[in-house]
Amino acid sequence: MTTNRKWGSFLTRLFAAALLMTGLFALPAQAENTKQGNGALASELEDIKSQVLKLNRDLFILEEDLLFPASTQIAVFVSVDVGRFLKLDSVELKIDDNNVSGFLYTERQRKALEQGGIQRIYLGNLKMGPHQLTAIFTGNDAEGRTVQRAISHNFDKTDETVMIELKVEDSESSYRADIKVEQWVL
Amino acid sequence: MAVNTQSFSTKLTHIGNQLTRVLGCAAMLCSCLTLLHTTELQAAEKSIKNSVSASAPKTDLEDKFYRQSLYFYFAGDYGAALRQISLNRQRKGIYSDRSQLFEAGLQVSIGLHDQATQTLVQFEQQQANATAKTTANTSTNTNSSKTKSATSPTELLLIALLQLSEQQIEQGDIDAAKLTLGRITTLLPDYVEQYHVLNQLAYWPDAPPLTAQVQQQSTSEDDQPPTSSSAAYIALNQALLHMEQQQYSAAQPILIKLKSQQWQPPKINFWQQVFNPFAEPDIFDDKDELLPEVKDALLQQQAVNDYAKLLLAQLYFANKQYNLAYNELSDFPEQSPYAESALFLFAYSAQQQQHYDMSFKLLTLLQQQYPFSNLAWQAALLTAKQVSEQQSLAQGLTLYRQAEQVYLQKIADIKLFSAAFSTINNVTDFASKTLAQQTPSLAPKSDALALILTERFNTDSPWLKKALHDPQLATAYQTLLNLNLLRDNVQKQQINSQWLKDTLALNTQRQANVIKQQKQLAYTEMINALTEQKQRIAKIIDQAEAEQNAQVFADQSQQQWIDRIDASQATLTKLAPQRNIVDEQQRLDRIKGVLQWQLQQTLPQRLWQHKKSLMQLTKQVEQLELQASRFSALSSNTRLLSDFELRQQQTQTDINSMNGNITELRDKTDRDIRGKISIFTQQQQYTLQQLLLTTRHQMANVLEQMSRADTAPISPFSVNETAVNESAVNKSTASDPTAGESAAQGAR
Repeated sequence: MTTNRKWGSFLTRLFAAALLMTGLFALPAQAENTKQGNGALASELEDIKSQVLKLNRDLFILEEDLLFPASTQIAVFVSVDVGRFLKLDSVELKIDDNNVSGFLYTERQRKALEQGGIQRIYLGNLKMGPHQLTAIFTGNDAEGRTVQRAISHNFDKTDETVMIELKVEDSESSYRADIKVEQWVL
Repeated sequence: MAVNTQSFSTKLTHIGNQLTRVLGCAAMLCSCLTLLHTTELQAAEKSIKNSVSASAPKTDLEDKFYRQSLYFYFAGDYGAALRQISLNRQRKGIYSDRSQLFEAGLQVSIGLHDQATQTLVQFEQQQANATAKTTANTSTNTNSSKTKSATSPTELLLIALLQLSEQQIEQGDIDAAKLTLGRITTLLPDYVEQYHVLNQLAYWPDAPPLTAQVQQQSTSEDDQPPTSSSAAYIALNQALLHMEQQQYSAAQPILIKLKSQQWQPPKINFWQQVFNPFAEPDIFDDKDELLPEVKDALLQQQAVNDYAKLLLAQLYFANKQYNLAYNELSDFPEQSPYAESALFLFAYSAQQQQHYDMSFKLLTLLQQQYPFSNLAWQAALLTAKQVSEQQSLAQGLTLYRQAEQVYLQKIADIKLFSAAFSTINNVTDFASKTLAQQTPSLAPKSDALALILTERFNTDSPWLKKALHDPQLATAYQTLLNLNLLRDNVQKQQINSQWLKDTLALNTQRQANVIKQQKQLAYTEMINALTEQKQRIAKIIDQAEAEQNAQVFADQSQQQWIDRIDASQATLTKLAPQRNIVDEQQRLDRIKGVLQWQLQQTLPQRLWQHKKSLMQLTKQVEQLELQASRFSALSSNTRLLSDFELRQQQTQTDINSMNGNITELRDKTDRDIRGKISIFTQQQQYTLQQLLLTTRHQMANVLEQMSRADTAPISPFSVNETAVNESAVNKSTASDPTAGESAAQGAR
């Protein structure tokens, strides 16, 4: 009996260790140990991350200012409204019959458009005067058949940035997707 | 006059050609220089254009640019989404409520907590101002963002604050988390549970204040049944707290309910997703979107059930209800993350229930499955003790020897690990290689500005794996991985910056060439000469119109006729004194008359054509003058390129400083990790040494008992009693130093 009690005492101590080990596997939602050092480190990391972002933005602006000044700049955007009748696969862009851009969509990028995102598909330079933009959209219709939609848009390049949005819109009446063009008024 | 008229049309054409050539040349030069266009010029031109296009309805640019950042966000490029919002604000002056909150959300999700806090404070102030204005004016105008989003700004702010505090807690910044939670004054019913859990975690082990007022529903969350996973966490934390305070009777019913409860995972809306991109892992699964969510929810549910079960078993232990604990753990899932502790407890309860065979097997299994676990090491000792007491001293001695060998081996192992770790240059050398790292050529290339780690640090080294149970060490490793990510990012930007530098150099060269060309061609003189010619032609046209002189516009054949008539007239005039030329003169006059009639017939048409050509010419000359003046302004403006160069140099300086900061922080983290690993290895060695010492004491006792048994047989139980006493003392010294600290960790 005494032996049993001693044995129990020995094991109880081990149980204490077991309990502490259980503590190591605490719930993921539980907060981790707080140390001031961690906070300082995290703060420094955050600071660098913020600097990287700022640098990225500055370089982006510099690049755009240098290479695409407003007087010659043209930007083309793509958006999708619902996307039930055309699951977008790719877009080709031509300006004055010259291929200027092509984009092949991943599933995620396509969904990003269907969720309301607007994608800038092309940024380039054009001289002033009349031009023609042609876009060819390829995708699958509701039945999974490959379909193509093309649109042509004439516009005048002034010395102000030209922004053109190509909108893939579902037409409930014809059960097909149509491409609409909207030239943004700045 | 005849000579003048003859060359007029040809000249007009010639001037046109000349102008086209000059314009083409100028256009080319200008297109080169437009690359260097100044913003001032653009601004001036814009102001003119604005007046022209004022009549057209303006596009809702706020919506368009906001949706651009949405595209980046949904496509997984959070850095670009944040950059887009920043660009919208900086360049277009667009900063709506929703974009402000979206920015805060993105900042939270990529770990920019300070910036997110600032953005949210700014947003709160704006909201307060807007509310004050609305109440003062009782205006019916609605906020644009409110009309476009089903989620109110108050709710968005609440989501942002909750997610921010969650991340602060995860980072161990408890004080900041308390402050963030303290800023929540109003709660919507859907977020009560999340708020409660976060408060529990932030204020652990004290009772959270829960000061926020719940809107709409007056019932407190305590009265509600725990139907969601958040509620389960609240209950679990509550039970844990009761157990810490030894209020077992209060903890027991909660745990009994939790161990078998099922619930729905909380629904996550768009804004919660924005603020926490990992809320729904792999949401964009190509094959089945819902599966990962369901899987995740099931895993979470199972983990909470298991943990409740384990806590309940511990509660029974504390109450010495070993049979209940045994029954509780008998069906504990093998794959559970808490299986190790459960196995040990199960073995112990089996011993208490005198199921020695079962206990022996379980302890052996524990040693086999978790060779680096402290519990498994203790299990070795426990097994030997059990065998020596329940079976024979000789068998027990063998097991003690085996345990001794295990400890010696582990001590040697940990020393080797320690030595290996101290010699490596990079503490991440122990990381296990992912498939993408093994085959970099197959890894998908992305232009996305990666700022979030998608994977945690992983290793194949069992010792490091064990060390990583320390959350601080794990965080330090994550910091290091984050720094590596940022370093790669900065390297990419360095390449970009260098490319811009090269482009600038090229442009400088082009500008110099253009200026040189301009000097050689003497554009101003050419344009002046053209203008003069144009003016002279205009004069001729005006004069012809006034005099109704159709000859000026004669075509080539008509001009030949006029020339012939003039020549004939000269001949006749010469012959007139010598002979009668009346007949010839009449014939010539008739021809003249016919020609004149022909010319007069086409005069209005030709006059109009020439006037139109002249107008076009005037326009072209004006354009040319404009281009020339712009060209002159651009070519003489050296500030243009130097401005770009300065900006490029500034980014280069930033890159250098950032590289320095990254290296510095990396070194600091590296030292921190090495220090922690050193402490870890020392602790492990100490634990193993203590276990070794205990084992040797036990072996000595067994040997002593064996020798006593050889000389004078006595009851083995009385000897064991002494041995166990010693063992318990030794064990307590082995486990006690870490017990306090680890228990504290567990509580948190």
